[in-house]
Amino acid sequence: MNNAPLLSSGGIIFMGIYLGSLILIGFLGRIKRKEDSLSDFYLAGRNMGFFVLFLTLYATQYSGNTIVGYAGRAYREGYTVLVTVAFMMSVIGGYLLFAPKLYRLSRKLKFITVGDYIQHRYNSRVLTVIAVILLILALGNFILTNLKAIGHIVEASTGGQIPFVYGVLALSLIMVIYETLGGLRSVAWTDVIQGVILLLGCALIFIAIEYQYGGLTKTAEYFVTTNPQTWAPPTWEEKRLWLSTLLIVLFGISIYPQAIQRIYAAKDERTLKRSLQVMVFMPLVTTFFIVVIGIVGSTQMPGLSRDGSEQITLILLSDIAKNIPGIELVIILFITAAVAAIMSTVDSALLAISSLFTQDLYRPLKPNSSQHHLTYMGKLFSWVIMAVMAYLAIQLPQTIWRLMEIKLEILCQVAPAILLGLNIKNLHKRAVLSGLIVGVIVTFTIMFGDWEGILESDRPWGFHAGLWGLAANLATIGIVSILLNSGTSSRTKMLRD
Amino acid sequence: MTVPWFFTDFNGAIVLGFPLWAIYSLCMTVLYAVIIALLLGRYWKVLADENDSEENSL
Repeated sequence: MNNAPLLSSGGIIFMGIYLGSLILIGFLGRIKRKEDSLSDFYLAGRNMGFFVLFLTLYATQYSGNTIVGYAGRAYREGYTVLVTVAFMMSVIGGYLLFAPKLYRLSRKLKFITVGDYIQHRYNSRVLTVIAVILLILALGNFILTNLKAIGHIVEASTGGQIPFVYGVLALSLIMVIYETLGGLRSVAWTDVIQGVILLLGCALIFIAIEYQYGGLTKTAEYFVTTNPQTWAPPTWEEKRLWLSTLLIVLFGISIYPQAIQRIYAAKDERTLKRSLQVMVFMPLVTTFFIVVIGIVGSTQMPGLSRDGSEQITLILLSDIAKNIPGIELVIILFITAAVAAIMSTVDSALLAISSLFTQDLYRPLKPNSSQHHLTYMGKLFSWVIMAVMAYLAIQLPQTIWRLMEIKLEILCQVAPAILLGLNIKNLHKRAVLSGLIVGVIVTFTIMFGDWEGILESDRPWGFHAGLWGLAANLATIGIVSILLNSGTSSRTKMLRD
Repeated sequence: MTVPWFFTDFNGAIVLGFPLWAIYSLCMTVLYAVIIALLLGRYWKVLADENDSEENSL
């Protein structure tokens, strides 16, 4: 690709300074470490204050897709994309269901990963290992698709001067360096910068576009005369899909292992509670702004292809730059915000996978390992995982975007083990394990089975395959629990008689 | 509650540049956020204490 670069030389220098500062923060994180232990490396010594915790939760939850993908979708689909505002909020509702209890338990029992909770609650290695492998698979394809996205952004930003492959390799290297230098402490501090850039970027672009194009009121006038069907409310099928999306995000994103890692890392309950209370409003100043930009863009630059619509924000900013001098700074900020959003997502997912490997898969095999050895292995896993992911991101075809879709569908199947485990007494490990297996089988069968002539899509009746899997998962848990309880009652009665 | 279930057709009403069903959805979304924030504030301790399943026998 040798198109005109989106970033000027000044912009590339700004980006270079930003990336250099991340390495510096990695070193600072290393200097500030308290001890050579998994708890210090993966949970920043369980001492994260409000400012850092809030911004790291924020930066981690919003990926590059938020600022690039949602604007494009809003351009193509109009107001129905407002569902993205609701579903980013629904995640916090998910935390409400388990964070208060899980945080308290994590303090008492020194959990490092979500696998620690599952192992403690059910005392089943099989269940823990299956759940952890599913979580790793989900996070792995998340990293893979985000690395591909970041490679394309670097290539487009530099007009092909830095090719896709070098972009992926360079940024993967930077991420794994600062991550292994300081663990969660470094990742969270870089998230602070990334979160601020993301928030500033969204707000400034929104203001610039409102100022230049007259915002939604003018857009409304345009739509009423030229494109009245845009005003139509969603159809019944779309409404069901809307509900399905809310549910799958609520159960899927809220149990992101990297989010749970941050719940464990909070300094105290008050800090965690406050962070979540503010987080719930953040879609209004992030996702909402981006959706409005996409909608306004569809009136100002109509007729773009799907690929073109994904760049609507940049196209609008370039257009505004003709009239407002100095707007180039906002373009630089936007591209940096997109890179920052992706990096904060990838580094957090990488750290979470590394912790799952070390604590839940490796440590049980080497129970007598010292904390120093385990931390060393955790860092080694990070390098290996990042190398594999970068290689796959470069080698695999673009069609792997399909993988991205299965992330939440898989995560949903692990949710009952956490949510029900925390809230229902006497939940048996066999019931949860059976539910998990059935849920995964149902999900994958719907998604990848040959249903031609039977099902119209992989979202039967407008609901995601993962939700059908979750329903089967819960039904299985219920049935197996009843069978186990009746079996126990019969044995008790026999013994009594 | 954020899904605009009851809106089946566009009736011409525009509020702040949005069709009425979109405004309904946005208002419900904000209401949802307020409720979650309040629940987090008021019931955190209750949610953390209630039915502590940590001691569950399996």
